[in-house]
This record gives sequence, structure tokens and C-alpha cells, in this order.
Amino acid sequence: MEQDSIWISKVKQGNRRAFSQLVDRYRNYVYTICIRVLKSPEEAEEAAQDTFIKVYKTINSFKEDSKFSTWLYSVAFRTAIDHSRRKKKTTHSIDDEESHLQIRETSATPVKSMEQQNLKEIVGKVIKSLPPVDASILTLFYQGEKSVKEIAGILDLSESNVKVKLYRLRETLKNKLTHYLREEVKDLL
Amino acid sequence: MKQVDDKLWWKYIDNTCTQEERNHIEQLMAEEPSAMEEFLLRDALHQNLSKQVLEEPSFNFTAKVMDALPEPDYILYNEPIVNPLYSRIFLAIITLLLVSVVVLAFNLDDGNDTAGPIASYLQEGLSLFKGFLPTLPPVIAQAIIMTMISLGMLTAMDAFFKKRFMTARNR
Repeated sequence: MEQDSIWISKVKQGNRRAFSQLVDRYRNYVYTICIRVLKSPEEAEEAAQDTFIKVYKTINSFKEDSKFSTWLYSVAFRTAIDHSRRKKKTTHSIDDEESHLQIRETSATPVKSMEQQNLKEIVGKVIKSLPPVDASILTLFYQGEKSVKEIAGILDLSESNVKVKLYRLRETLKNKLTHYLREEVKDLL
Repeated sequence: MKQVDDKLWWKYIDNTCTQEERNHIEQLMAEEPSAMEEFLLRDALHQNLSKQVLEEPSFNFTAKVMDALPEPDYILYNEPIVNPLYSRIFLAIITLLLVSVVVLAFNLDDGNDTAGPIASYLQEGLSLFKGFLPTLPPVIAQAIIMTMISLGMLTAMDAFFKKRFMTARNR
């Protein structure tokens, strides 16, 4: 995190090389958030690129009272949402209150056909098929290592909303994948 | 059979439950095999969610971003390029040298050949100047001298005010 501050202050002084360091460090995180929302690799790459350009243009407004990564992810999420609205390709509305209650039906089919795949891959495919907000919550919580409070800030949701969504998501995943999870833990029982 | 609220399982896995809740869950797992299974299923999911790797953009992603960045605004520096102290030392040396050369030239006799080529040129220039001034009307000669003095004073005043007001504005 301290390294981030050094790079950020250098970027504020006009050092482009320092910005490329920040891009290298966060490119996978930003791209993953974008792909969780947009689902398409090409669109996600475009949105991720736009995110970094926005961040470069507005980095002087970043006051460092929060983590740079939190600010960056919120820009990434909003940019991806803007892209999805523009292209009108997302099948689920992000404001759809019911979206977090169930995994899309499409996810059930690949799971059934993946008997030979390991659980990690199955979970990965299920995450990819989740609605944008749900997939983003899981990614930020597990891969971004963000707290519920930070996720709420990034996704512009209330803390309690994120808590409930996270709980319901994991319970739904557990119920959907019980068969595979049992296989995984059968030696421990 | 004792039951555990599903939320409590996740609080236990996320390590956000109280010590009391922790003790309760651990006791239940020790007593009830079904409770242990409930925990293990959730923990397996938790582990697999943690193991997910980030997606990767194309190989030249960073280069593409850097190429698309806008050109930076060039910063106009108010700071002098050369440290003012070094400038003053340099000016002092130059002034000292010029004064020495002029003093030397004035003090040389007309017929002195040991002065060298520079002194000879200076001597020549001075004799021309000395010869030129009497040819001018006194009013013009005085005007030239006054103009030179005025220019010198203006330059000094400009430097003085610039230093004073520019410093105050930048503060």
C-alpha cells in the first residue's frame, strides 16, 4: 500500500512510468471486475482500459483518505456498468432485487455437464454466470480481499445489503453444489 | 438435535463471530456429526471461492492503456534553472574580471608593448572612444551618459521589484 502512495504521488507530478506500474499491479483486478459485469472479454478489456484512463485523468482528486484499490475498483465497477448500459447486452438489471436470490438457470446446465471437472473449476464457472453485482461481491470479497464495508462503498450499496447478499449467495451456491461439495469432503466425514 | 443459524456458520468461517458463538459452534460440531458436515460443506465452498484466480486481460494491455493516455500538461516552472547563488558568484567573477581589465587598460602607457594583444586591443578601443567623445556636442555626450545611467538604474529596479513582488505572490 505504501508503494501505491509513492507511485500515486509520482503520477500526480506527471510521471507516466509510475502510472504504468499501477496499471501492471491492478490490471487483473480491474479486468476481473469488468468481466464479472460485462461477461464478454472484449468489452471487459475496453472497460478496463477506460477505467485506467479515467483514473489517470482524475488522480489529482484522489485524496488518499481511502485505499487506492477501493477507489480504483469503484471506478472500474461504474465504468463497466456504463458500458453494459450503453451496449445493452446484460441480461440482468443491476437493480433487480431478485437477482441475488438465485443463480441463473443457465448455470445449472454447465454444472451438470462438468462431472469430470474439479470443484474449483465448477465454482469458477458458476461465478461467471452470476448477475453482475453478485459476481462482483464474491470477487471483491475473495480475490480483492475487501471488507463488507469497502464492498458497500465500491458498489454503492448499504453495508447490510452487502452482508445479506453475500450470505444468500453463499448459501445458494452451497445448496446448488452440495453434491460436489460432499464429494470433496467425504474423506473428512 | 441442536440447530445453528445458517448465518452463524458464515460468521464462524469469516472469523467475525464472538467467542461465545465460537464456543457454541465448536461444541456442537464435536457433538453432532450433521453439524460437522454442515460446517465442512460450507468450508469447502469457502476454500474453493478463495482459490479462484483473477482473469487476465491481453498480454499488451498495459501498453495499450499507456498509448491511450492523454498527453501530460506541461508544467511551467517559476523556479530559476540555475541556482541564484551560483549566478551571483558567476556575475561577481565576471564583474571583477571586467573591472580588472578596464583598470589595467587605463593604466597602461601608450608605448607599453609588454601588455599583450588583449590589452593592445583595449587600448586601441579606449583611444578611439577618447577621441570620439570630444567630437560630439556636449549635450549629446551628456544624453548618452544619462541614458546609460538610467538604463542601469531601471534594470536594477526591475530586478529589485521582481524579486520582492514575485516572492510575495508565490508565498
